[in-house]
Amino acid sequence: MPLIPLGAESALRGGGRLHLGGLPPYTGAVVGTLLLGAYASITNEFFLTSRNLLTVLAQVSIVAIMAAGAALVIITKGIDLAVAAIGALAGTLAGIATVEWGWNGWFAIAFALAVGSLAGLSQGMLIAYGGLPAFIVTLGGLSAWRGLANHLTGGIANTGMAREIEFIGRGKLVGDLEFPIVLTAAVYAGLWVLLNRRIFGSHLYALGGNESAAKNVGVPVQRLKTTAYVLAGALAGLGALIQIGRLDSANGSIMVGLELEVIAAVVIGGISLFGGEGSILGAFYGALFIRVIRNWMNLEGYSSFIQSIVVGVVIVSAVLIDQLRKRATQQ
Amino acid sequence: MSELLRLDAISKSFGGLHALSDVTFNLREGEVLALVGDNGAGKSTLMKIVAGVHAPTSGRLYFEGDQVVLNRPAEARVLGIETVFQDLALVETQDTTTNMFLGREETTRFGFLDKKTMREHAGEILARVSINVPSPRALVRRLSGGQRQAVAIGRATAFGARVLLMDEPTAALGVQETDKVLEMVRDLRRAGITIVIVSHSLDQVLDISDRVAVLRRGRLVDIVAAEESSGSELVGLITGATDGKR
Repeated sequence: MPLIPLGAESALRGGGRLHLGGLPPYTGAVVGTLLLGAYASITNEFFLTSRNLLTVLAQVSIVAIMAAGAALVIITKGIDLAVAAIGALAGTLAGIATVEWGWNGWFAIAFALAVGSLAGLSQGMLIAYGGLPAFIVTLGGLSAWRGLANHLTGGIANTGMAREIEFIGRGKLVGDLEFPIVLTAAVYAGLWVLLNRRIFGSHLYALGGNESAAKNVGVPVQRLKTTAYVLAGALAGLGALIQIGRLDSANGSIMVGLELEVIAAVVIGGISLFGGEGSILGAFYGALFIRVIRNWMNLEGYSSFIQSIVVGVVIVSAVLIDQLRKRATQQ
Repeated sequence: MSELLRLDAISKSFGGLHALSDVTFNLREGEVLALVGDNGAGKSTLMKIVAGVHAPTSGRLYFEGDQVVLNRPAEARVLGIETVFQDLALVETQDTTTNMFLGREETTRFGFLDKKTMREHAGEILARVSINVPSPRALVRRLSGGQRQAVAIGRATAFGARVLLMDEPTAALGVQETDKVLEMVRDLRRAGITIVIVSHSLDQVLDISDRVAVLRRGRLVDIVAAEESSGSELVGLITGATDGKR
């Protein structure tokens, strides 16, 4: 019970309607997507077709789901360079389980998610309890998980995924609406609630913003950090299931280099690499922006080399704008 | 005034370094006790032992006559011993409400954060402090040093605090904000909260405290009544030019 009696008329109550942080940090990604989308709709006859948009969304889903996990880690002021490699390992094992071992599709799916979680758990424990730098641990993971995935298959692809995995990758629910899009929406809805309406989220942001202060008030810092890497691993596994479901094939070299696009999506979405800040929705908008850029450039016939240059410029611009915004709000 | 907290022969070593040696004194309910001493005299270590951050190497701690062992800040907090650390321990990327309720969030029946209630309480708490904090939704990063101090003090005193430990609360502040923070300390004293304050400003110490405890090289050399003391007496005790009575 408060010592000083509550109930004094507060001049502040009801005040503060105006959100002082200004616009949400993913505004840039949303505006960029809308502007480019509008331009592409006018100048390119194929862009604004439901077929093209649904394809873009399905591609977005893989990056967005993995970026959601990476975002959790980045909010804790960590980094996960290994998401694509963990995805490759989980996807490869799901492929081996269905094709070589003849497992039921559901078991293979659960297996992939468990493998992703365990890989994330091992990284998270080394970082949170072992005190090792996240960059180093996950850089090692990037190499080791990918190596393990390639070793297990001997570099050969397993083709002919189980029906259930195929459904995760390209199953149709209603009309042309593919399952990955629904899955992405569900993942983001769940994580949004977790981060914004539960103590878990409040503590995750606090630990990213000021770890010693969080520890001081009893936030279980090590457990939360570990959880973030476990979720990132599990979501990497989920992203891989979509990928192998779409390809109908799994091998150790799926999603090579995708970690860069995943981290780029998080950053472009306004989630600060310095931790403690940003909305999970930003990871989705960042992934969407990158994919819309690439899709439009594909339709216009720009090479993937040019696309890489543009995405690179967008990444740096996003961080630059974020820094300027922060400086503007500081004083 | 009755005894609230008693330190009995508290010593603390870090490796071979004796940060505190055989410190014994009591804290009276409702008083403001200032801790002064040169750098390295053991003020912060003493605060951290009472706050539950450090466990003493030897010696005992009594709260309301009962011996207590504090292994974590959370255990001190259960007794109503709250701390405002020198760095304030605020999360700058979060708003004032989140900071004030961090670690003791209000939730609804199904475990969802009750943001509305927390915001209302935060607004009420902040409305009572003499520094005007713009809004319970304001990001801490946007607040001035005095406003941050107000949030930290508000947080420390909003949940039934009985003892408030303040480590250099005005060190980083300008003249005006320092005055306001000292006004807050007086308000808290009037509200019956017992306060231990570490400060380098002897004028300030003589102004707001009831008693002044002087530490020198880890030993408590004297405790004097602020009213009967002077800046020169304290300087003498701090530097060792004058011998203390202990």
